[in-house]
Amino acid sequence: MAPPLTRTTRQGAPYCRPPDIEEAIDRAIAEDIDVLRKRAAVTDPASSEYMPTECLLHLVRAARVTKDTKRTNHLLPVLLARCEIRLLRAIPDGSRHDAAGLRDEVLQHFGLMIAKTGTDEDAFELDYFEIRFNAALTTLRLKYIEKDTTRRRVYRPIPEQTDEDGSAIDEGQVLSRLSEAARTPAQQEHYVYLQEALAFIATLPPHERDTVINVYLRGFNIEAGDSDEVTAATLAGVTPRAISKRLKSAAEKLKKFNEESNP
Amino acid sequence: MTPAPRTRDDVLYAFAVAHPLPDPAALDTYTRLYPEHAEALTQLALELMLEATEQPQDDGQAADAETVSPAVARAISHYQNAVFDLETKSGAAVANPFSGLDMTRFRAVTQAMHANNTFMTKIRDRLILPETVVSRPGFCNRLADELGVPPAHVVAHLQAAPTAGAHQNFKADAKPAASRQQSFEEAVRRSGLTEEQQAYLLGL
Repeated sequence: MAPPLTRTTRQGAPYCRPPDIEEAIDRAIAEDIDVLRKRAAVTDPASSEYMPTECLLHLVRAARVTKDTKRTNHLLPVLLARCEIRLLRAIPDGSRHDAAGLRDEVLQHFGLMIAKTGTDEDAFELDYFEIRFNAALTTLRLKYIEKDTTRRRVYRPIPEQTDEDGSAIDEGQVLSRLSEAARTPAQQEHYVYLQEALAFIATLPPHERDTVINVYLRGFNIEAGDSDEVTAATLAGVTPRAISKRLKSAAEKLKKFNEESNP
Repeated sequence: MTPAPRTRDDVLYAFAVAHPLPDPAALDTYTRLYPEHAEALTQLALELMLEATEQPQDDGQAADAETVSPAVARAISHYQNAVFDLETKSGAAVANPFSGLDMTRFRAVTQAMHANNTFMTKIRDRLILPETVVSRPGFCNRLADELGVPPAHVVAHLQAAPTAGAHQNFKADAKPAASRQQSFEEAVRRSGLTEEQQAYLLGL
């Protein structure tokens, strides 16, 4: 059985791993390194041989504590590779002034936390990663995103966008409402709307979905006077006009969706 | 029990693991408890929602166990350097990676390195100028792999003071002292290695 976590909740109780993670760890610690190597390479979460990332992290931490270099050498690269895949999606090339550098910083910070495992400098932050790995990695990523001075503010009012003909892109204000809801999701009505709208946006064609998210949720401009500024157009590799068209199309679909959902 | 003070990171991590798909009540509770972190919590909540929308269950996307990307290689190198720094700082001397090898295992490592005992003894006893070895990451990584230790330990071993050879007996009035006289290339050329072995080692 895996040793309990060290971090405690606000009330002072120790954090616990979810039962399925405990089960996965119990199984993994009984297996030899050759089996673990094969299982760590399984990428289908539906496979019975798939090893959750929380479990993989636990094995790496345990190997670090016992200075089992063979296990560390085999499992750490797989763990870091899984992190990198998520970071590549969250911080794609072109989305920041130095996206690759930002990803490196997050990945290296994560590696440093593993290096500190079992030392006097271990702050046990990785306990959070053994509970919900992806959510914890998102938290770590945001810490670096905030430090990235070139990042635009997400939570800001979006000025009315017009296309080249001067007509409003978001005539029904449906996308602006989405942006407003994202600024204050703690409000019940905003949260419900966000959930519905994001579920709908996920069904849009990928180019429209990404454009809506980049402009109305991540706060990128459609175009910029400064040629060095990252914009929704430069991210997508298309012209500002194409971005406007995509937004207009998405806004019309979202408006229709809203009308049908709330007749 | 008095709740421990919560740092910003603690608050955000706690929120994320407790509410990977946040609901407004949870966010409201946290922002009331930690108003100083309200903006960061709101941003985190939105990111978690976006992730749930954009990337459902992609936890196990193709992570090729056999190839290491440049970013992962850099992270591993960073990790190894951190491990070395931490162990050095804690006062724990880095063990000689050869010290646990019996003669059979030493010969096996020697063979795997396409070397001979003379050359590997120079490596083991640190009789080669360290800067001429550690500047060859291919050799250090290969040796670390064969010894089953992190490359940082091999580098640390090579950079430590030379030994006079614990496996040798001496007849001298004073304690013998080892001295470094050869560069890596000289050691390769002057250890009785075959041309093929020399080419291999210098090519790593």
